[in-house]
Amino acid sequence: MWFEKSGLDNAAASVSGQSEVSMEQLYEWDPDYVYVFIGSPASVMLNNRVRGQYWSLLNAYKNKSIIDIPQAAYSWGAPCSDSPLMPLWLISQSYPELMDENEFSVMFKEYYGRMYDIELEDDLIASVLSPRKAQGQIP
Amino acid sequence: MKTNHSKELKTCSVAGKLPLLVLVLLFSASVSLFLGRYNMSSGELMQVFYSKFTGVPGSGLDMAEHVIFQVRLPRILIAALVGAGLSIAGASLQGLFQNPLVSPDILGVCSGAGFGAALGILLTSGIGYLTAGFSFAFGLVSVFLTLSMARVKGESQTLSYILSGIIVTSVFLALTSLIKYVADVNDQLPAITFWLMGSFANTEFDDLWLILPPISLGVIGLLLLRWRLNILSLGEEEAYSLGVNPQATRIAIILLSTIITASCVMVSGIIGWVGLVIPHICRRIIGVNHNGLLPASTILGGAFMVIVDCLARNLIAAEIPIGILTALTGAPFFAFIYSRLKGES
Repeated sequence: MWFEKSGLDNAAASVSGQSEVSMEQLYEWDPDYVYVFIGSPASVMLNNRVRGQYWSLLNAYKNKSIIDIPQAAYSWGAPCSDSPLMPLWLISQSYPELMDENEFSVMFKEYYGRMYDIELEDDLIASVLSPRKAQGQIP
Repeated sequence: MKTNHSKELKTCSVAGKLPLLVLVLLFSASVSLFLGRYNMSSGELMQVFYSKFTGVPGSGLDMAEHVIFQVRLPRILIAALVGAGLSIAGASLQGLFQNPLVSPDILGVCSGAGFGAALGILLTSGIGYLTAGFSFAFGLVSVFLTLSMARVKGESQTLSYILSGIIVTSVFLALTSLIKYVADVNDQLPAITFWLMGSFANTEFDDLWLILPPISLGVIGLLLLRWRLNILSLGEEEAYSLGVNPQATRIAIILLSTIITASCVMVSGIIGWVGLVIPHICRRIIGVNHNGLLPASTILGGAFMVIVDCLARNLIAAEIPIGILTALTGAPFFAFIYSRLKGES
């Protein structure tokens, strides 16, 4: 649904829920972007460190477009009160010519000001947008 | 002399059927190599093989070559090896305990190895070789426990093995449930659950080299012991009089089956039904003589596993755990064979 709203095609549309998919199927789909919701952080796949899986052949690997989904009040990969920000964030990642990261941060601040009456600082925004770093999962 | 003549006929038909089974195995392995979720035209396929065997680099076909030689090929070889190993272990144990309902898990190997793997995933989240090591080690430990519990001698020895096997299996299954209960729900629990259902996904050549020695050792050992299985079925005294030590043979067969099964579980998780159903199917085709039954089980088991793995990875976009497929394909197939040939025997 978020993919639709941000103009992206879900390559895995035929698969529902949390299922395991073989690497061969990933090669067939060869997605432009891989968004990581839960489990190992994107850096593990970008380092090609997963046993039995060769991520280096995928387009997403070559373009370094394996990206962790941000976590603010909750992970934006699940329906939560920050959900309106998810399609906007996806656009800032996949179509940076339409909206780049700075413009997105402005919208992010404005949303939080409007919804929660909270003033967000820049380093808080940075830690939301790279959640794995904030959690200490990557250096 | 009529008896000799019919025995010759029987031997001829066994000898004729084994090459046929080998052909089935080779055919299913080759077809499986060409089937997959990654689409490539037959032209690209030919190009990939040509490049591989003549060393001429192909253009832009890296992914196709990787898929065929690094993703599908090791997977098919490992599936064949595991299927063969589980089948011959099942056939041997069925012959040893003279009980057609015996599977390789009777002495607790699979549940012990499953516990070891779950423990490994809990401790390391699947990184490194600890999971595989624990899996193999606990597989052996569980059988050791079963054997040390079953010290009763005499007529009820078979029964006491089976009962201790049930006890050890239950204990390890309970411990595995405990591990599933405390495991991290996002990361480890799905890994453990998927592992316990069995899968050949993400297997690579390293896994093949890892299990090839123990499984080949077990298979060759069991094949060498197959005529002794016939003798054991005659009873203890007959066995002694024919120069076969029944207790030593029993231990050897159990040990070899355990090594095979633990290695299989170590690389692919718990896959049931294969060790139980394939020997039965082979008995209908070949007969109960272990001379022919064990080799036939090995070959047919390999072919069956290759076919089922092909289905597991190709039917839908997601991977179907192979333990589910072996149960769904093996059980009805066995019912069909059993009912069709019931009239003959």
